[in-house]
Amino acid sequence: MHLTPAMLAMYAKAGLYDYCQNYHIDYCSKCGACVSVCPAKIPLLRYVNIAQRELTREAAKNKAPVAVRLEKGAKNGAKIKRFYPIALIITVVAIMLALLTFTGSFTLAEIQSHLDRQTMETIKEIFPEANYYTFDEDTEIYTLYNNGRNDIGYAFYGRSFGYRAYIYVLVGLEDKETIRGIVVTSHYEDWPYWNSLEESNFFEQFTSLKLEDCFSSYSWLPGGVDATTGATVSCRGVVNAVRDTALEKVKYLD
Amino acid sequence: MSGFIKEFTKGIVTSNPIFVLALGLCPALAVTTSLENALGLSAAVTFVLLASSTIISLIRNYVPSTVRIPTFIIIIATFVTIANMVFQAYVPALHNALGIYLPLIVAYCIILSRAEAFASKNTVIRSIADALGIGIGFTLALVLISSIREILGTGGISIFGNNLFTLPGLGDSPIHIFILPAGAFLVVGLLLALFRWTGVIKH
Repeated sequence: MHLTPAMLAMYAKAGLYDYCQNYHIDYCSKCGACVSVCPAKIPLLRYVNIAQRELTREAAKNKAPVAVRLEKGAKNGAKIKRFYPIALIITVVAIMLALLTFTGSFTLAEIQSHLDRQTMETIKEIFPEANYYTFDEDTEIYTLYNNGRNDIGYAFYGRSFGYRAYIYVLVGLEDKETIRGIVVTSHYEDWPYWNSLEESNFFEQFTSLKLEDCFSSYSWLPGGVDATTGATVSCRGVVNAVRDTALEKVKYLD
Repeated sequence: MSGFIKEFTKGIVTSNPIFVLALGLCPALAVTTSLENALGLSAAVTFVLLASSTIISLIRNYVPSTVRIPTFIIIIATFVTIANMVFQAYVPALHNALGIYLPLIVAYCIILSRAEAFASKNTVIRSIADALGIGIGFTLALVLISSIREILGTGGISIFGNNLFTLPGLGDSPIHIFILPAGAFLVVGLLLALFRWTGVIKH
């Protein structure tokens, strides 16, 4: 611990309280053992008390935050003390928003182009000849064009509930009546069931499927999309995702 | 200058965030499946540490203690969002690999605890030194863990699509458990035991 009460008392008596720090006055627990053994009967504990009090007072004076200093100085100290934290937080938020806007100015364009590229790749899985698309904000339909700027089809996202959660599908339409194909973009179905679905011919049924034929097949109805054994709920989810969204979007196509 | 050096080296060995302070174990276990992910995440963590420690140390005398924590969190969240946006724009593959662990930097104890315990009570130079030291200590620890896990778990190391090397024996039949979360715990625990036993980390 390196405590030396004699030196502490000497410097405290001289008023040089900073030097007391060199002799580790912070570790003194004021137990008084030094006083009881002092052969010269020096009141060591009293000196240590004075020194510690002066050091605490000085430290508090130097480290007081602006809020407390303002309060001591200002006439309407109560009002400043109440509004200062709010003003500080608003200032900090404003500076941070400025930083974020600055970063966004050169990153958001890049992020958008990455997302557009991903969308183009998904669309190319259904329409390999597509080169360019336009997106209508109101109807949320992608109109697809090939090299010669000819309108080759439409695409849109649909979703419906499967077994666990929503299944998201990108539906590609050749025209108002025929489905060109579908791509499942995200799902949370259980892996073994979805695997059996992918290995069966379920998704091939959607190629060149008539819209009126797109429903879960039942034994007493002709036509329809056949489900795969063991994963019928997921199949029904996919079929509903395709049919419900397609029936809704076809109304906006000319 | 000696104060700067002392705070800097403290963060690398004696106050290593993973092996001594045991803060930030969650990302250490989750993203160390490959060296590339570990380097990416530790770069982001070092940036957030440095930036937030600097700003917090600059305004430490003007923040009343009642709004201390919300202010720190606003500052840390801003820099994490900046890191997230930059990663998403310029290294999208790495961003997808890190997944949720990049925005989760906001909640890592290491950043808030260094801000609270050190940056809000020390000068700017010392805070920068401390943040750099802790960041480099974090990087070294993550690089060590991820190299071991990737070499033993996949047989080689590949960075940014380039295969650096493949060990002939392990490449054919790697020890698969080291890529799983259980292997992460094993590696961290055994490394910690090794450091304690050889005396690199004292109690």
